[in-house]
Amino acid sequence: MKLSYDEDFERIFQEFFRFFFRPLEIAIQGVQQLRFLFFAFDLELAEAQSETMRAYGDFLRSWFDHLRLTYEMMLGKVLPPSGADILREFIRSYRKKIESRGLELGYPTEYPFLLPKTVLVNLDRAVQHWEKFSEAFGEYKKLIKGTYVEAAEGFMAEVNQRRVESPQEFFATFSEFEARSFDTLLKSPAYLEVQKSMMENMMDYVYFYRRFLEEMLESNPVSPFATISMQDEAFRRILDLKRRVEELERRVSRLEAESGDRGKD
Amino acid sequence: MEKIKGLKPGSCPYETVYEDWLFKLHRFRGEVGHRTPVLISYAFINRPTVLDLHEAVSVIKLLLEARLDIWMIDWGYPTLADRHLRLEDYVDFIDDCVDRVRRERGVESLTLWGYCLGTTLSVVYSSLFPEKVRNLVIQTPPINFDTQNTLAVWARSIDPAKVSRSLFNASGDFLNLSFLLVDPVRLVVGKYQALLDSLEDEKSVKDFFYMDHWIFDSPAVPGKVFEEYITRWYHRNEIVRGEFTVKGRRVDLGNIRMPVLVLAASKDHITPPECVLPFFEAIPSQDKKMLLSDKGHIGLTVSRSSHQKIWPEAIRWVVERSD
Repeated sequence: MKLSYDEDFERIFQEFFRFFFRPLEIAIQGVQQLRFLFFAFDLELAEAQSETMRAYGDFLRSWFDHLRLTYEMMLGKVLPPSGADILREFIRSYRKKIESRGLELGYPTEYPFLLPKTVLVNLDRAVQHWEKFSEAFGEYKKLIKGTYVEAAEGFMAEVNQRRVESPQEFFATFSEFEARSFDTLLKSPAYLEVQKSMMENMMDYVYFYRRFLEEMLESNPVSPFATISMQDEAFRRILDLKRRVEELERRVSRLEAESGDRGKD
Repeated sequence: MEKIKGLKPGSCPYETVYEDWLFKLHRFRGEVGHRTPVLISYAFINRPTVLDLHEAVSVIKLLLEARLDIWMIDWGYPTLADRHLRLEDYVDFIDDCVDRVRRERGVESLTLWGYCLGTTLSVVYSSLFPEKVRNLVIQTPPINFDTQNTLAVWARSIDPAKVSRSLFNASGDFLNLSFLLVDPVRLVVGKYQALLDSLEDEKSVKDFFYMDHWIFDSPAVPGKVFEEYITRWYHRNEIVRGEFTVKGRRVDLGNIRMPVLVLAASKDHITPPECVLPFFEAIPSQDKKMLLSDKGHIGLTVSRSSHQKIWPEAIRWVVERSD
């Protein structure tokens, strides 16, 4: 029997790729790994995420209106009536101001309850980086697939010329062909460039998307939550203080040791 | 699954004698028969249990049987609160531990034993405080980062500040995948195929899961440490170039005059022997030795053949310099 690159080899590649060649998404969204491991999700579903991101623009516009309406409806439930009244009064008077003075207010988005411009700028940047990531991911998959197919063809040429004695030998030979090809690919300039682009755009996407969500919270005076960036800054200051205390302790110890030595003299 | 129920690395008992927020100092229980204690500085990127994976391949057990007094630094599991730790904090903690062990044992100096990235810290420390280090043992040591193994090539091509900014810490999953994907066919596909082939052999299955438990028990690396270690070590190779400083003090390899034992592995794809050769040649120590295993990065520690060939000689070297 002569081997050729058929749907079985293609299926092996899909499994191969799905399980082991998606480090960034898997690392960042650990849950995805479990889903991919235990259920036969079509990879296309995950790749459609880029389409979803493109739909975000429409979604946000409607979400904006939805939030404002929900906010008004929920005020009475999350705040005591007096607090809700104050907020309602604020919104009412603010709306009145806008209606009466139009654009004379200058830059109304700097007011509380409306989102600062940077929120949407961050979202926009997140979407841009996601698009670049998707582009790089497509290139990445092409490189991996090309290497896999080339190695598989080399393997087929080899085993079509001789007898394979056992399934173990079949697998070992196939693996070795693949492993050698990937050794070369993983250090090639083309791969490094794509990997760098994928990684950096994914990291930027995570950062800007988080900042988009955080700034929504940070610009909301009713929010009782400290964002993760605020906590991070607090931890930085605490650690700096700890270092200063430790340095002072060391100086005191040195001074004590020196004064002890002088006492002996 | 019954065969591996309750299976967990670590067989030698120890006590935690000192803690400083994230970091801990452990002391293993055992009869002490030599004057010079041994302080192990493990890599902050994995857990130290690989040195005591299970009784048959426990390096700690061999050290205790040689009646050495074994102390070990545990770098812990960093969380968001630890993101702003810096490499200098790690060096400071080594100094704290060294001073504590010296005080407790009434000695001037000790044997400092580094493992992987713990080696890099140990070399830095030994250069800054050579008077406190009687012997230096470095195992699978990354000191020269200008190598051509895939991991080093990848590390030189990434921007760690972006990782730190978005994920805060370089998570264990993120790092683990990087380590596996440098050789995906052999380290992932081949490995699990080998497990399937040996499912009937209880010893093999247990060995596999001891190792897998250890591999995936990965702490995160604090974001700022990740930035420093990728930028200053991989991108700039500061230690070998004599440019690495800690709190303004330059790390000078010319200070490594104490006895040095290097344990390296010829098939190591993470820290190949080239990671240590320039260091080994450059240091002025008159008493230096290199033991080269034919295994890989982990096999040097846990393979039964290393326990027959490498470890008896390594421990003899330490014992001969411990009284």
